[in-house]
Amino acid sequence: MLIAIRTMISMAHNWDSFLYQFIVGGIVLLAGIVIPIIKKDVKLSNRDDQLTIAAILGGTALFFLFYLAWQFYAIKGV
Amino acid sequence: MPSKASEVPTMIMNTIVGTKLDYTIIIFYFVAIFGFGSIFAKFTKSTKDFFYGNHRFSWWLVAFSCVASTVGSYSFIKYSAAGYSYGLSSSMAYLNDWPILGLFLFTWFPIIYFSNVASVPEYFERRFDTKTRLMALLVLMIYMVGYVGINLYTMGVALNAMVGTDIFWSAVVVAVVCTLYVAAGGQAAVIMTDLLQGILLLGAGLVLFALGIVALGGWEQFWSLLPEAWRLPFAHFNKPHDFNFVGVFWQDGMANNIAVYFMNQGFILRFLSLKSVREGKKTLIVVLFVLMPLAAIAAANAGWLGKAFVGAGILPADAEANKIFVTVADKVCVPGLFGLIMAALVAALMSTIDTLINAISVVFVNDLYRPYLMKKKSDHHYLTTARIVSLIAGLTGIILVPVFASFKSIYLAHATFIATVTPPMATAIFLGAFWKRFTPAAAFWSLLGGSIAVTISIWYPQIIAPFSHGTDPTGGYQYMRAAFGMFASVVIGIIVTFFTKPRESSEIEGLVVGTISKAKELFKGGKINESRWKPAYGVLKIVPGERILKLHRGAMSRLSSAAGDLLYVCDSRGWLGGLRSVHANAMEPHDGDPNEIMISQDLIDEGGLRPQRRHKVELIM
Repeated sequence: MLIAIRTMISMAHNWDSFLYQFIVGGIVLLAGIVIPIIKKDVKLSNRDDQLTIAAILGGTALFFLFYLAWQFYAIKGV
Repeated sequence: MPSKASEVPTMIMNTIVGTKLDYTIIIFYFVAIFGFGSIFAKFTKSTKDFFYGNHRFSWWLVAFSCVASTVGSYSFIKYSAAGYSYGLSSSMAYLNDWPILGLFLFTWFPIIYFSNVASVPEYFERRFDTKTRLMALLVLMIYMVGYVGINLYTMGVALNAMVGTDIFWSAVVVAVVCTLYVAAGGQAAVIMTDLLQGILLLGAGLVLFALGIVALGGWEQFWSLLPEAWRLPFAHFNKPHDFNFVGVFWQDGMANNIAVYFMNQGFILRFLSLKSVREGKKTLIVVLFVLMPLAAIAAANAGWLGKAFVGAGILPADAEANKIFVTVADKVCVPGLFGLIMAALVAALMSTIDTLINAISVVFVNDLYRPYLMKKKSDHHYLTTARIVSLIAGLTGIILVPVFASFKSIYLAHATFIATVTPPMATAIFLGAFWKRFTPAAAFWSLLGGSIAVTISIWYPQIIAPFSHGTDPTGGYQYMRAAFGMFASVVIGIIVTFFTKPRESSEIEGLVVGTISKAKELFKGGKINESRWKPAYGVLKIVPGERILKLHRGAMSRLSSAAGDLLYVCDSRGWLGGLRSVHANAMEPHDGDPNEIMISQDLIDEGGLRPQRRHKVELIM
């Protein structure tokens, strides 16, 4: 896998960096949410926890869409 | 747009010297910050106040102060240079913190908040043992004291390059101002001044960007003048060796972010100063999704503008990256605004230095002086000691400035030391919080063995190659060293854990994942109440006794609270951000005036409350 990553990817317009950020970063983010749920530190029935998870996932989704738009805008030029 | 240079009589070291108006603004800024910071001495009556503001502040205050501390003295120079050389991808380091949100907000932050630890070494003692605490203490003190000197030195260099002031005396002025208000006001002074500094540095940076865009003739003109590679949000995956995506992702996005949010004493104290864990969640979400993008623009835009200026023929093609911030500021600033930009640069430094000075005093008193050197003294004694240590920390920082200036090897040695110990420290914290089985011996050997492994990698960088993601070995894989260090520390920690005895579960309740409900109960001193509630309002009525807080039955019903619940009483003026506030457990409700909040004098004094004012009450748990 490491060799694959090492030789992966020299995608145009740095799409490889884009994908890596959201795939690896997304795994870390989800681990940080799922582990406390499994360990019952976070309760999906608790409104405060619901709002926090929604804000984190919503913010990340907005970041993703923002980056996507930025990427296309950058490629397209003016 | 008039160039400030045309009104400036002289240049020093090829740089611009400000007008009298610019200098007046900078001096006024110093005086204002010093005066403002010193006001908060009256709110600092105990070590809890001095260390972390006694859990009282609102999310927005801490959010701005976090950003102010994150943007350091050299950020404007460094990120503008990266922006000029590589484009908008220079913003990556400010925009890749989001992956750690869940890990911090749902596990680490509740652990440190509810377990009432004031520092990482204290956590290490309670989670592991004294030996690990002392090792962490040593590492943190070297890191923080050295970092005060480095920040002062880099700020002096930056100001010298821009306005020609003497490096040492610039550092002295900044250190004296910061040290005095931190020694007087502690964490409250740090947070309040950093609110102003955060607004200033974001505002000045964004104004610079707006003026640059206007100077170029508008956004479309700016965008069209940037080469395509400069417009992309991410850098090339693994080239060049000194600025590539994967290196920034692992060094900054993972290792540094875990270090900042999990082990940086300044950040930990900021979050401990919040009135509740709920406020911490708001704080970090707003910081990462709103303020850090603004900080990225503020810190790096001069570089992006510089590249566009070159494209437009406004600047020569050989403009130097390290001076691009100054060059662009010169092009777009009118007299007076340049002074504001300089004040923002100084604000970026001061907000980092004050945080460090406060953190040093906390760690020294909390982790060395109180538990080992002078046990069982009064809180007043420890508060006085913390203030004295703040003064010594500032003085030490000043002494280190000429040392770093004269002996670059010492400067480099400190940087190497930090790079060496950060991944193992972050890993020990991480495994300690997330893995119950992780043993004290494993924590100690992760710290020591991980540091040794990273040290070896400095001499034999080829051992990092399997983690290199194809990056160029030039420079010894310095950007990928953090990934290697974390991997080595994790492996050592796992191996040692399976051969050593873990602590009993009952001994680490509230200190590891899966035990946060218990931590909440320990924090409150009883069963927690997580009902939905609405705030209650009223005026204070002083009653005799100690720690008395009684609300009307109707108010208690509105708060969904019962006797014993932890409540937060604050001045209803929201703009104070919780400066006048106090926590207390509710007693049985009263049946008198529905608008009366019966409260004892000790709580009024502790919170700095004003009885004649209207107050708001919230349910904490």
